[in-house]
Amino acid sequence: MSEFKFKGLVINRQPRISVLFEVKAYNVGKIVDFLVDTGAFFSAITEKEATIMNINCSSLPYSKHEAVGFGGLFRNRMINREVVLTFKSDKDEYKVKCGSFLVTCIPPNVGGEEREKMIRYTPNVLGMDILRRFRTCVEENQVELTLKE
Amino acid sequence: MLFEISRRNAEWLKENYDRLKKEYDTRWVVIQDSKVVKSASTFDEIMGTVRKHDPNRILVEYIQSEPVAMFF
Repeated sequence: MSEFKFKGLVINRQPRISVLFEVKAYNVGKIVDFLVDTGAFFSAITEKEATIMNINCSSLPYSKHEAVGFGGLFRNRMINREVVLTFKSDKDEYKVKCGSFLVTCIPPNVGGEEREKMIRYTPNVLGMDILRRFRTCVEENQVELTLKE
Repeated sequence: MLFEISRRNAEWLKENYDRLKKEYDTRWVVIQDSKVVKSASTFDEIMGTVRKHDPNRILVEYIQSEPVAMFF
């Protein structure tokens, strides 16, 4: 029986997987590199990634949940539109539809060097809300997600 | 096609990470077609270049030789 397997790379000790991130309502589609983070409850893209995708973060509503991470306190916003994540391998494609998606935003009162640091070190994360669908295997040079039956 | 371009950029970054750490330590880089097309010291500065490129053809990365302890 064939298995759906999706591979990523470990770069600078970070297991990363590339996923097509689409918000049809915004006419946005971009490959996003996510940190495979089994310690995260929720998946999220960063303010940096949203900015590169030309999504105006200041127009997004705030999430009711704050997030604490390296660098300090984040003020999360929400993409309250359907987001489709596409995982792809040479043979297979698997789509996950999300009713909304978190964006980890830097609070507006944080500026200068502190803001820069938070942008530098905050990754896009693929958390357990998505990873629970997969068996996750991280090795020295690659990460592999296998879709559960 | 998008996945292939992304994969090529990521593989090139992985293969060249040690060299990039020496040449672009503590700088943002934009990678396209197996080369660094721009580097800058701040994200706002690098965004000026990012806006001129197709975001699906580039990889934007902050390079740092000193390990940083990150906990999530």
